[in-house]
Amino acid sequence: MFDLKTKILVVDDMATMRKLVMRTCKNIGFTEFVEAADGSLAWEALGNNPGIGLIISDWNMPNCTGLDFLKRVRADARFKHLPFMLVTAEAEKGQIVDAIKSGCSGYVIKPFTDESLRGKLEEAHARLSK
Amino acid sequence: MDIKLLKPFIDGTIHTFEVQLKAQVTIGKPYLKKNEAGQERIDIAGLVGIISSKLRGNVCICFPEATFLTAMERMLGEPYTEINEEIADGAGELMNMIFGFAKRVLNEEGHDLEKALPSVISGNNIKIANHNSHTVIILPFSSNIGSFQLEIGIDQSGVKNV
Repeated sequence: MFDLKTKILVVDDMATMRKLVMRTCKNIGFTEFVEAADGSLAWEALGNNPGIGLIISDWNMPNCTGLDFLKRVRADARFKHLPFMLVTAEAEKGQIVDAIKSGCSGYVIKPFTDESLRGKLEEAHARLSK
Repeated sequence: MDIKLLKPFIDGTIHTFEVQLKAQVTIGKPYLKKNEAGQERIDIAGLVGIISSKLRGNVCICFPEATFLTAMERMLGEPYTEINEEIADGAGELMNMIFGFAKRVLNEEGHDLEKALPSVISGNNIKIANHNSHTVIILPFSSNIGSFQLEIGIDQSGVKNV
């Protein structure tokens, strides 16, 4: 599992969803969070908050989608290997393939439970640690 | 409206409430929305547009305040006494989850529903107006956190007629 001291950037245009993701992560043991309401704001937050070690982002957002944000993150040498989880209601196979091809570290389909998010985080960490 | 279009939304609602809210949901008897009289009370609703090459319409999850507050307490782990800005977009998020489920199922069956961003309407005992000419079906749900309903209006006659 990721170090529980990892600072997490939580990105979602819905305030309740950011709160839900943070609540779930707090239940797992994480304590430090930065929030952003779309991909553009998340990009700014990433630049302004050194030490972010994990991104958990929605896909379907106005201005800059989670996928566009992911591509922007992966195109920057500083963040090329930063763990990036998509948490989204977009559940079609083609979309999941697009996300993985774009460098997504893990894909969580809404609705989700504490256990399913924890499991996906553990999977992603194990994969990235190889 | 093809009644087969409703099932993915019903299944998506049951799945979303079970997983995200740990709530047991039962579908009641669907009926046509004819006028505002006799409708269930609505204090907040999450709405999303349905757009594909063959379909146009919208689907809306409608809550009385008590059900919505309990849903948000289940979702976020804190009690709420009123609908406020902190939790209002939760109606849109639940609609988003239900729509995501239904979109996957329908697109696997050959439809091509597009992504859509949900919106939220709230107010004291609001009415949802349907300005399009298509039929609107009410799907009433009961659950251990209270009652709520889905309103679904889909036009299958082609995009030119919408």
